[in-house]
Amino acid sequence: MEPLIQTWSLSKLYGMVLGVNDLTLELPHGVRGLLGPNGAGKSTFLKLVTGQLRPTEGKILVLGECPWNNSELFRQVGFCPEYDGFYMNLTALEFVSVLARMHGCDRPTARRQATEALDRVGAAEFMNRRISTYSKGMRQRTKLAQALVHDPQFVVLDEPLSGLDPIGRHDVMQLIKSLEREGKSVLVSSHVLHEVQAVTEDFLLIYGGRVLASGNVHEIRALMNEYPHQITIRCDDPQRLAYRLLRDLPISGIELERDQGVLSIRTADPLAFYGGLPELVVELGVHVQELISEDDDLEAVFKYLVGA
Amino acid sequence: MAAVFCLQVRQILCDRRLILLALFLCLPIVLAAAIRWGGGFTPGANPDDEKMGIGIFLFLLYPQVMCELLSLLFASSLVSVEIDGQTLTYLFTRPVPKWRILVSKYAAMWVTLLVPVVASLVVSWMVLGAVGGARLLSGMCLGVCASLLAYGAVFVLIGVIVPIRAMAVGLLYAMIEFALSYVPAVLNNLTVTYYLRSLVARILDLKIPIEAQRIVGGASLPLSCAALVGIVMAALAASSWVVSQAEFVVARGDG
Repeated sequence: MEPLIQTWSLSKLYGMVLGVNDLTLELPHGVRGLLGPNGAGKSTFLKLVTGQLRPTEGKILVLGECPWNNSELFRQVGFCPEYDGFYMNLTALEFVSVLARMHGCDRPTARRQATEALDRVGAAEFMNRRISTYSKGMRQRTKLAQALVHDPQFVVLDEPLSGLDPIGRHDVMQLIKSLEREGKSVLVSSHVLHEVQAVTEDFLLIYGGRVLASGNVHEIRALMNEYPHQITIRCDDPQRLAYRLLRDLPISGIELERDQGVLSIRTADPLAFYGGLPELVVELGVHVQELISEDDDLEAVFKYLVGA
Repeated sequence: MAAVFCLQVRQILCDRRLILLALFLCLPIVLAAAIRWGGGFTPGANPDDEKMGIGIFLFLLYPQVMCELLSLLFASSLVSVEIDGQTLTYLFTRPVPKWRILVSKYAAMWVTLLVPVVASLVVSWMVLGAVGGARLLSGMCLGVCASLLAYGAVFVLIGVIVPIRAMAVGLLYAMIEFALSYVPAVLNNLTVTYYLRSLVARILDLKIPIEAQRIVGGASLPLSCAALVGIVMAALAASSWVVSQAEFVVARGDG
């Protein structure tokens, strides 16, 4: 089976602006998050994946085929764009039906498939209203329906959770999980880490047009040993604890917020730190109210890798 | 590509520019009425002069001005409207080659414009006393068909080459082309207008003096037809190539 996406030294320039920079990767099938802050190159990468842009340098294959100018690939690929453009005078049912007909369906079949897709994304109740009257969430669901109407093998979702209310987010996450259960592959972009973390542990971290890391949370963590781990301790005597931590444990940096009783610690050797900390706390008789290892959260991984 | 065709027809019919279209097409009727009842023209005076006069009047209004302006308005923006509305992505991420989408949109635009333009032409002709009979009307209708096809194709090409400033570039083209079409010798032979004038003059069998033919249009009927077909095919082929090769960035995402 061909990998989902393969790239070799893939670069994309917009004039002098670098969108994607020398990307070489191979993504297997499955659900994968594409993470990065605004301007990281996520949308450019997705446009290269969906053949909307031609690589300036390098090569990309999606499902074993070059996506640029390859309209036949869209029999297997569905794309949900980030932006909110629509034919405002159409209803969601008409909009999705028209796009279904472009896959070669006759009018009744297209209408049936569109109805099913809209029902699946929870848009059935408003699908006969004009899109111009829709809320952000309704539009988002309509966009998802058009990406799914032809039952694609691979679905590319660009920021599908942005602007959605909590129920909408939950529904979209459930939808992504259901696609995974059906054996579909999904590439979902977001700049909010916990959103992606809720649907997959596998992700691709992109920043400045480059892949910073790829894999699951734990693999990423293992790759990051050269980066300091962030630990926050809230206690009743932070000053004394800070002094001993600096003296006895492998600490690369420490910040003290005396008023709040909070220590923010950076260490390059978390194992040694966690091994020595309990003994030190007992010896000093410091009462630790809270200990937070930021590394348990993808947000921390993200922050480390982008150097924020 | 019936789906794209129907979508395009619907988009034009729901477009705000439809009001502009209606206004454009009412204007020749008002002008015809003013000429007829304002004392500028009395049917039945001299049949040949009448035919020539009304033929030139209707040609200037419809194949020359209306068709060119409407083509500029609608054809040059076939792609830019989709870019501005951020809808192009939905069309270009389907298993249909981009050139087929473009040609379907062009065909839809042609049909959607042809019907009201011909209707307006028929009304104007009737207001002017149906001078020249069915031959003049059918000749003028053919002129309208050919003009919308040819100018439509040319403006589609301009629209895909410079989608952001298509209207301005198209207007500049129209003005230059109009001026060149009256330059005798080789230059006017390179214009759409020259062959349109020749085509309509030959169909209507207008008696244009030999000396004037070098300027107005002296190409034979087969040559006029072949030239217009060639212009349409060449412009559509070039547009198809451009649309297949170009990257139309609908919106640069934040990511």
